[in-house]
Amino acid sequence: MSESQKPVQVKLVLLGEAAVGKSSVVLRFVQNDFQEYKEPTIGAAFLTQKCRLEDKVIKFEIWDTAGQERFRSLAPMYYRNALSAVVVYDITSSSSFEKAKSWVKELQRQASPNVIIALVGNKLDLVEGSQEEEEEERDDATATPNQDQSRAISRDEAQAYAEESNLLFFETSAKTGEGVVEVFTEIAKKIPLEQIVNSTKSRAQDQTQQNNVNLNANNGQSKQVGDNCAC
Amino acid sequence: MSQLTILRGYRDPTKNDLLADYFRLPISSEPLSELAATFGVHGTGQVFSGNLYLFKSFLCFQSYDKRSCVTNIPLYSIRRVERLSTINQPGTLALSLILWHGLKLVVQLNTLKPTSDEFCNHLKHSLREQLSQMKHVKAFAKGCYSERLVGEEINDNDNDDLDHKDNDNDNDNDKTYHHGLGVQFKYPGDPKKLREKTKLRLWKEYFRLHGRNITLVRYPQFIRLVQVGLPSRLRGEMWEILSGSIYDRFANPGEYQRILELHDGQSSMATDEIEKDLNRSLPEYGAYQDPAGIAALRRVLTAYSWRNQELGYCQAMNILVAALLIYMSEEQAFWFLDKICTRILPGYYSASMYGTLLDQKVFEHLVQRTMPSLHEHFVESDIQLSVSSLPWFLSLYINSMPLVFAFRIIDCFVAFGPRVLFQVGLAALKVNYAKLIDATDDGMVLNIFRDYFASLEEPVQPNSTDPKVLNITNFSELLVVAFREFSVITDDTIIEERRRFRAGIVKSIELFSKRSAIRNLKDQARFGPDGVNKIFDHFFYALCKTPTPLAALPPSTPSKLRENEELSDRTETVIDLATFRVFLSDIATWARDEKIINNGFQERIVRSVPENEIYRKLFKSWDYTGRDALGLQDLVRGLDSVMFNGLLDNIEWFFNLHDSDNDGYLTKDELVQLSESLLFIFRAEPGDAYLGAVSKFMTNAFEYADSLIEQPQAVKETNKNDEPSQKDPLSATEVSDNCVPGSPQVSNHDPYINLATFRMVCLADELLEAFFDTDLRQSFKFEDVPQSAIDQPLIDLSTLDDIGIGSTGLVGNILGGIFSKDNKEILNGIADEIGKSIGKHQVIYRPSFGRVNSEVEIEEKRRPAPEEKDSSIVSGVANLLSSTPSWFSRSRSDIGQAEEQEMEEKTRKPEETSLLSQGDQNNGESHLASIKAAQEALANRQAFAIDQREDDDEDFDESLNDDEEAGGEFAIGSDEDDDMIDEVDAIELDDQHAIVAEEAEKILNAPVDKDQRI
Repeated sequence: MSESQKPVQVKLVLLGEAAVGKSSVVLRFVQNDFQEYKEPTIGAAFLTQKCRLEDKVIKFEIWDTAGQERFRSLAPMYYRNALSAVVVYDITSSSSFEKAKSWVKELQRQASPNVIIALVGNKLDLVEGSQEEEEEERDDATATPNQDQSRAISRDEAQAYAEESNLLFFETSAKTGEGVVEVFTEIAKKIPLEQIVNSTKSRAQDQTQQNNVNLNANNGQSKQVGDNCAC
Repeated sequence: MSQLTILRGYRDPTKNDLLADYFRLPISSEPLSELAATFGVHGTGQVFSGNLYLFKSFLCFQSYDKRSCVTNIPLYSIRRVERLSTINQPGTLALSLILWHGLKLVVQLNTLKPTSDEFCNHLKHSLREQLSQMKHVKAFAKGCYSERLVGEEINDNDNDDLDHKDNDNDNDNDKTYHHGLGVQFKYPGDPKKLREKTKLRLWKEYFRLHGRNITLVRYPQFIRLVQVGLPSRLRGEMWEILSGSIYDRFANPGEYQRILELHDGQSSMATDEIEKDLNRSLPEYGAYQDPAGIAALRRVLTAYSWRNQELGYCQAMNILVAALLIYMSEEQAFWFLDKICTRILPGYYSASMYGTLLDQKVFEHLVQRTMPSLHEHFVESDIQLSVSSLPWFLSLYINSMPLVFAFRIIDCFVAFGPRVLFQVGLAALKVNYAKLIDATDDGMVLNIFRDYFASLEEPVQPNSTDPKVLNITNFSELLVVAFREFSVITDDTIIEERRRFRAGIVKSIELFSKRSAIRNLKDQARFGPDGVNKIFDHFFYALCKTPTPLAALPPSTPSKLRENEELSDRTETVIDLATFRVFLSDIATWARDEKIINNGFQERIVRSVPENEIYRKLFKSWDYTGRDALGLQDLVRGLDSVMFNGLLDNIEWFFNLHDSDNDGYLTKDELVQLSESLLFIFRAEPGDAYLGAVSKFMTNAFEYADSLIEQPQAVKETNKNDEPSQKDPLSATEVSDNCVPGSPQVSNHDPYINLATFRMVCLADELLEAFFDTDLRQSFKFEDVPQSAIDQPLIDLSTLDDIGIGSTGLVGNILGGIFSKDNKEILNGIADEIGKSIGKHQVIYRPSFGRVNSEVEIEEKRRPAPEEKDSSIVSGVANLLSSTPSWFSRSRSDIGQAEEQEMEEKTRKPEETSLLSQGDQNNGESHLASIKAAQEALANRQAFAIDQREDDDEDFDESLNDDEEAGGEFAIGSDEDDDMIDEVDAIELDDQHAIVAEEAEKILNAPVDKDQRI
């Protein structure tokens, strides 16, 4: 039965500061691969991955977005209709954690009302001395040379924030693969799959109601944006 | 998001801008001369008719079809100009121009003699001006590969690849020309497949006949040569020539190095961002796995981030520059990048990326126009095309296609302009039409293009047996479709479309910025979402009216500090003092001057921002992060500290505002400054009550403070027994400060008065108490920001001083309907003139608080029998009055009116006019004088005598009388109305703070007016 079953499509968006490893997390999940030097994402990249949860097949449609601040105004274009979001930060950079908080805030206000958000602290390999200690070189393309490689955000701090904001929370290493798959399976568990199957038909209508400030926002839509200004 | 208002400054390009862009000139300027001409390069046998333009340093020609022949010759490359005899067509003038490379151009001017003579004069003059540049040409040309190419032999039979040959040449000590990393790390693509040698030979021939580097003339063959792809070795130089960045490099020798040296070792947010991406720029290319390549990339990106700090660094620039550096030297890439960012694709990489967003909108609209059903399908399936197409434009296809093909698109893009990006994009849609029309979501569309771009090298018909057909790749098809089927897309189309959508894009970016700015607030204080929204509107409005220049802002913090900083501080828009003054004046009634101008036809209110130290003090005290600039969060916190508190908190707030070292004490100087601030805040209030209150305050403050220092114990006791509000030392014996026995000698800079004492003194006065209790708080109001400022982002806001409240009166309304905002000032000016000529023009200052009228009764009650009028404070106040700063002068002129109202409530004389004294107009001087006077008053005050109480009002009363007498000479009778009006004119023109009150009741009614209007 399961083989013939039509997969449930789940749109997932990755957000977070530049160079925290969003694309690497996706690459690990989709291709079980890691690249030292991954080109920055311009606009957004799109990948899909199926995974099985109990008797259902879920097809993740993953939107991996650009992290630089100035690309932020494009983000609504990518996170509209997203059922789930993965907000990534770098556990060795406190500014990336601040940025993650800000993304969470934005998602909770602007994205689909019941979006499931996972907070992911990446680059666990940089602080875990116990794990094969290869200090030979900076392990991630994105680390700045002068940056102190020690942990800047404690697990407890992030955990507390995640609980307070009702987020899933994980720490991962895209490099070693630690914790990556769990992020997606836990999200899959939380998604009300039955509802999606039932509501797929009406999805098109819902979509037009999403507000966005992006290129497609015509004058009619910007009215709606105005209403949402009172953040 | 960082600098919101940059968008506001963006204007549609003018005709001259477009012309300069077309010819790729370094700067836009009006052509000195423009005429019809026939143009030909000697030896080619081809001649074109078109337009000849002479600019300050360029001679440009464009054939009528805008394609066949285009040239832009820098005047410094012209060696010699000769007048040719025209036997065939007598009367017309022909010139022969010998260029640097020996190229001979023949230009026949198809105009009447006077026009061509004028042209020749201009040319002669301009050539002379460029003489100094000529000597640099030789060295500059030597750095161009084209010179070397023309000089060397290309051996057709030599089957060795070119890299080998080049290495030989390098050994020949000829590495002086600019070249990219490709020389060392190889160019992408197979040189044989790309037919490099054939291309080089063709170019060599072309260069011989049509000039090269700075003297290149574009003939029809040129287009074909570009479209088949530039040869790798020549590519960098050709990009530079075609984009025009070569002229910038010529004009700014050493600038690139200078910027690098100047900022050596410095870091910024941009450099941090660059650092993150260095290893991620074309990582598969050999040079970028090598420290030398990475270092070159770093230098170009950081140098540009310093040159264009507003832009800084945008992801995708790393990919572009990495691509450029394969073919170009660092200096070449630097100037090319500049050209792209500022002229060819403005706004693509800017902080708001408005250029990118705009072009996406344009692209979408072009799809709608050229492929309506596909567009409809996208709309119905909720597919956002820009999800796919935005990266094409932003990375000039480098990120989307295999490099060899992307570079060929860039060849065309630099040669023919931005339309190429659109044409290629449209062609990609057209070619994949059948697949796209079946796509149901963004992801599918994205995959279709990904697969397509990956297959560009494959033949269109892989099953064909004809080798010629097999040679037609997907890429050649793409180009053919782009330039044939979409030849309708011209430069003009793009310009037109951009113009159409610009305002909408700017508006949506601004809305987004607002949302983010508000969301990023850590603390909304006691305002709530609505209040914060309003604060943002005022913040933005102030920024539009008086933009904060980027240079005025403090340099960014060193990167170590930044790591721990709050996110919002990194990209926040901040304002400087000048913008802050405008912001505050929009919110607080006392922080602006409001003139109610009535010219008989209409009444309008004109606002201006006066000068005062208090703005700086507020700015400083609200600068919570100590960066000498205020962000939205600072303003929210700052306003929160004054808009919600009660009496005691406000007194403390005001005290702290003036306590510059925060030691809990004001010095004498600070105390004087504080009273000055009070005088400033009350400057618009009618009547003398506030002046009196401040004078009394000063006297009392000095008394108490002195006594505290003198006998701390004693005063404490006295304070306990005494009701502070009853202090009135006026009738005490007049003793000079110095004569007080044991009077403490406190320097003006020593701690002098503490908060407790200050509070007591403030509470001693009902007006001050009311001010701190409610008036101060209520003087902050969020009026609606004029919608025009928000809705029409492209209007010039600097003219909007008249903020458009209350243009009333019948004629005013009618005219308001007819005239646009732009004309309004002129209209107002005319109406004022007419008003003056019929004696109806009047200007009234609107009070900030409007309490005095309601206070009159209280004052009446307190008023004792008039007696004992002379006392030191009176003389002090009189001194003050006689030299009050001009901003205070209105109170003085109003004094008469207030008096009048008390004396004869019912019988007001409309003719009576009071006017400020001439001396008062000198703002600065009288300001100083007032301080002096205040100090004098303090020096002359009587000794502290806590028990002697007497109401002071009468004394002011007396002073008023005195003043009225003294001011009598300024009262102007109706006979002198004309003179008076002239004077008012002068005052107004000088933007002095003047008042003419034709009718006393106008002023008295003013507060009521205000309430109605607000």
